[in-house]
Amino acid sequence: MLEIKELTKSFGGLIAVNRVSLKAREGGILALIGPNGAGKTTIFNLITGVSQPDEGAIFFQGRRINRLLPFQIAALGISRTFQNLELFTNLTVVENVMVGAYRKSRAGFWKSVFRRPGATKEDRLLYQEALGLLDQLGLTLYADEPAGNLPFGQQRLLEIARALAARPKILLLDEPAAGLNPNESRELAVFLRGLVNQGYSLILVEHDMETVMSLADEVVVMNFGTVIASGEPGEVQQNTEVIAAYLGEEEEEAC
Amino acid sequence: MLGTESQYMQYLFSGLTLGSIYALIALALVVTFNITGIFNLAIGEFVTIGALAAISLREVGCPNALAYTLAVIIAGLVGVLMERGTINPARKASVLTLIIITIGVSIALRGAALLIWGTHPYTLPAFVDAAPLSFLGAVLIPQSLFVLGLAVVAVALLFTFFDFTFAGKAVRAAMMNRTAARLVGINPARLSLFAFAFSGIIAALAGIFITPITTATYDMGFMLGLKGFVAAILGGVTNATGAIIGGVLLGVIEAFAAGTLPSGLKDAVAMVVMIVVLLTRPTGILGQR
Amino acid sequence: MLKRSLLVLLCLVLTIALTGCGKAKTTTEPTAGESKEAYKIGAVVDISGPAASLGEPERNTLQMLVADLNAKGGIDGHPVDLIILDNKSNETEAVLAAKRLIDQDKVLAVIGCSQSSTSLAIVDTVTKSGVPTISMAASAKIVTAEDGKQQPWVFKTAQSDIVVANKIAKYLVGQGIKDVAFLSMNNAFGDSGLKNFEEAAAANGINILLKEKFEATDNDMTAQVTKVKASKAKATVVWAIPPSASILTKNFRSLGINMPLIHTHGIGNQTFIDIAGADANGVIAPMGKLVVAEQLADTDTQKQILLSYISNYQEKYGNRPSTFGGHGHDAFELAVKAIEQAGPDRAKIRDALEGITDFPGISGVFNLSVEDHNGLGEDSMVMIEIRDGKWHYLAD
Repeated sequence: MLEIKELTKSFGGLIAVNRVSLKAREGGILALIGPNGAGKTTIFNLITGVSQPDEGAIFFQGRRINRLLPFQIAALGISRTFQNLELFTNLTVVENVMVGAYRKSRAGFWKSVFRRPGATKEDRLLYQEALGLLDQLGLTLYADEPAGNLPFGQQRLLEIARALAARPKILLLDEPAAGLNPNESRELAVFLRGLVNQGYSLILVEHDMETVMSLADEVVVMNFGTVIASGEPGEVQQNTEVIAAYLGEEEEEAC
Repeated sequence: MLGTESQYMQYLFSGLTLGSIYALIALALVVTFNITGIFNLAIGEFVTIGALAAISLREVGCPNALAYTLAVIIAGLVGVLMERGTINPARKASVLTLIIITIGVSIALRGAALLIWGTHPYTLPAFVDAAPLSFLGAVLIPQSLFVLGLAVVAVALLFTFFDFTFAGKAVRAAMMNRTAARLVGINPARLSLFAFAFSGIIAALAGIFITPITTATYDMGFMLGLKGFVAAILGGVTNATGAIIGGVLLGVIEAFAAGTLPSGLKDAVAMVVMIVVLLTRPTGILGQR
Repeated sequence: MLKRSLLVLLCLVLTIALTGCGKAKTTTEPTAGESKEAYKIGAVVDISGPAASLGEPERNTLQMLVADLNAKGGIDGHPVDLIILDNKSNETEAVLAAKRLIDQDKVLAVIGCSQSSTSLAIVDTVTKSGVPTISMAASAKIVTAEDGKQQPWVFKTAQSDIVVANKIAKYLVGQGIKDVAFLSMNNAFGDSGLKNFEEAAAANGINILLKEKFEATDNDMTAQVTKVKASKAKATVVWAIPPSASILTKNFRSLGINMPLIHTHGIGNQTFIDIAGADANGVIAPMGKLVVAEQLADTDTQKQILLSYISNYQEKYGNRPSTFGGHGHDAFELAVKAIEQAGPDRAKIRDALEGITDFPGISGVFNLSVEDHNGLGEDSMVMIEIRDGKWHYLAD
């Protein structure tokens, strides 16, 4: 469904992504893992058009997308969440989700500007659907709170709800479990599996090996901008390079 | 004999009237700034375009309502042309460059106005031919009420738009977080177009409403735009409410200053206000950060 | 990236070019008869800027007159080359323009400027270079130096503000009014008016209870007018030109102040009425006879020349000339007469000007002399009232 070929990106003198290739299947969960600074978030930025690659290409459903603008890529059905949260903090929780459905709203921007406020069927529909999504993620209580007031864990869930509002074909999640307690992480994992059953495809960037192993269908491991291993979770876990990379990191964490 | 309270009342009315115009211009500036990150320093020229276009249309025979509507549409179109022709092609440039471009456009528009309309002052008739109203010993001319009314209606419409329509929520989202907005599918170019057309329309309306009181010349936009900018800074540029408050406050301060200081210093008041704000509270009255 | 920068640069260049079209220089080149050497006359006029309503009719009149003159063969067969420069109502620009006319174009005489402020600005320049100059502005200071002597090289054709002040004072006395408010522009015209009115008031037993000023470019004088309303004045005298004169009048009426509103000859053009609209009705002012030419008695020495100026101007420009155009008319005709007598010699032209007497012009009958470079007395003005948007002659 989503294919990356020989993608390369440098910032100044630093090569952040070095000839990375991977393929994400339709209807599965691909996990992109690796230590900090491996280039995982950069890949997400490249896919969604926030950055432009120096070399290489990105294909979505057979179509080349690396030259398109972010809003055009979003319109094709690619949604993402952010590691550092990019919520619309000035809007309420339910409004954030409604705006997430922007690409679906058929009336278009200009017609919406001139329509009577709030009285339209589509607005009400969007509202209902947004509430539905909030319910799925356990956020109904917060619906009319300003998004900025939510606890961090709930904000992460809100980002996911917003990303889903557009009914994307593929969802890119950047460290969705960060900041969640073990209970919440498990619930999230169940939820994400449920999404796949509904027909979504997911690419996860995750730091935490345990979450990834139980959840992912396929794992790609990166370090220093290159892919060092890819395959099923079980295989990758045994890979010596991978262990070395993570061991090195564990040592750092231990210090 | 007019007592001091009545005198002050008179200054207050003056100040509220002109302050409403500053508020509208400040509003246009703030909305554009929040959507695009650019200060449209050509905003004053749209006031001029609205007023002078309305005057010319009346001169060729259009009835008032039609002339004013067409003038506002023309101003909107000029805003669109400005955005498509000068802002959009330069959108990858730095914010400072873009602001300088708006200055260039303002000079061009003023030059065009000079060529088309000359240096003559022109006037529009008051909207209704009614006697001035007496209120607490001071006089309020009917046209002032129209100006105040315009400000109130404009603000009400704007808040309705932002709080109750889907497009309004989308625009507010984009104002808060441009990156996420793009990734949700909002087209920044369309927003930029909306911002410039919208601000042109608001400014043009301000020009048409104020001309019966102050007359219109080809360079009326310069000072008005400058004071609108000061008002926006006074109120806090991140906030539409601040723009309104800043505008009205500036108008009132100016009116009282004109009454108590030598009138030559009236224009300097705005400059003094701006310096004081930037030195003591740069984010303005309602600004954050 | 480069292409975009070029586009932006192009836009900027275009904008600057568009605005550069402001520098207007109008030359009226002599057409036929190149046989005799052309006589050059320069004119510095406030064509753009706040005083445009004065400068435009002056420029139009000058162009009309020089075209007529050259069609008749010029001065003794010498075509007249009239070079008109726009000083944008600005003193600095006026001086630069005067210098250019004197040093580069080497004109025989200068006509200028439209306002007292700009006229005063060029006095030093023309005096240093010894060029006879005829101003079209009001302040007596233009021709009278501090010591009371006349400026040797400067003349003027607008009625002096001393005359205006006296006429207003006499009118007030005639109406039995003793307490007045005085509002004036904050420039040379207004200040000169203030000084002369103070003297005229003192001489006629009138008290000025309140003095307020405003800028030429102000668009709201409610503050000053409010103070008038709060005072015990029984009449208000305003020393201003349009547009500020009109705006003040509108503010005055909107506050419902019930007292005579008296302006000066500074409002002598249609612009004043156009901008003030119905609020102009009831305004009283001393004016040159041009605005009520048709209402004058047939025995009036100026009536003929006034009527013919009106009809010529109307034919060429489609509207009635203003008193300001008349000041330009007189300046040109006086200059031409002096050059006719004296030939192309600046000092001789100046001497010739001082010798012109009983010269009926638009602004009055001129009697110039060494001691009087203005030559107009109180009989050059009449009191008028604006009724129904038209000038109405108030017979004494």
